[in-house]
Amino acid sequence: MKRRRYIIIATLIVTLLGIAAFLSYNYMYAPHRDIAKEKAIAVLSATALQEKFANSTSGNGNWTNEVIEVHGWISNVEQETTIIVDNRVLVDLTPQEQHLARTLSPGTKISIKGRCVGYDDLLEIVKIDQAVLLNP
Amino acid sequence: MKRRRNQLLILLTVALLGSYVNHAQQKYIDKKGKIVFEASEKLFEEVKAKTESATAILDIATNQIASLALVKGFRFKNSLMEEHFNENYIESDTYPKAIFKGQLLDFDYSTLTSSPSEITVNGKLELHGKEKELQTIVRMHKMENTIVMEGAFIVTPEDFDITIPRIVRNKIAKEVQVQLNFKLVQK
Repeated sequence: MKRRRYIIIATLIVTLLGIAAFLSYNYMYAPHRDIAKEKAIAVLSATALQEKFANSTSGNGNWTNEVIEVHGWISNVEQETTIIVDNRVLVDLTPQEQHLARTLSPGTKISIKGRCVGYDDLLEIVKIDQAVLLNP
Repeated sequence: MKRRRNQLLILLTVALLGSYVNHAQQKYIDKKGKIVFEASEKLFEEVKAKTESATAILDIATNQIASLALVKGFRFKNSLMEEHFNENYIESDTYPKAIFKGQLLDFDYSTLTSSPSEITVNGKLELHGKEKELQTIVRMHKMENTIVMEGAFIVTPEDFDITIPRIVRNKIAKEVQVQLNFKLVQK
């Protein structure tokens, strides 16, 4: 009878430790955000986005780290992976979609969803990374 | 008389335009500069982050260089580390960028070749709302129409008033190694 109780207690402890280990591992090695699956907080044109950042006093625009959808016309594609939209927004695609950048040509309409990294006041452009292409 | 004046006007316009074009050609830009920093300690998980979208602008007439990296553009392997870096250490919501402004010493673009030469850079690095004087040596060479610039330097968290909590202090190196790689293209 007594032995049985010990076994139950021991099993309980082991299970609890296991759960704790599992939870802490998940916490410490949680996967990165999946921007492609997140919902955009705003949809706007490249020009509107750049103006929002350029006119904000903190140069922050409150949208850094947020997922946004941006549309505009491609100014050019640089170094085969970076898309410049309306000379105002610089877009880096996710590693999975990066190879698609070279298939895009300047002058065509584009729509993307990605994470807003911030405002670059040297170039006066807004940077977006981890972006995916959407149907314009 | 009138014709002469017109000629003068044209000459002036051409001269002005010329100087403008000249001005534009002095600048070399990289919009996709690579910067890596590492503060790993042996036996512990690596503390390393990388950005591939730093901006660098070099003016070869004045030898002035400016570089900007958006802090949120730095990616870590470990997402929790990235979160702690942004929220607790570097406070990227308040201080979203790292800016370097400086000068290349004894640099002459016309003598730059395809074999690397060492150039001293002197300037100020601004990060986390603090400025620090920085002098380092970069290796530069010319590759077709590109100026390649590579370098490395060391900073410490104290330089920028960044306090590391005691609980993780022995997992993060006291000195942070920074490496940069810019490919500057004429604009």
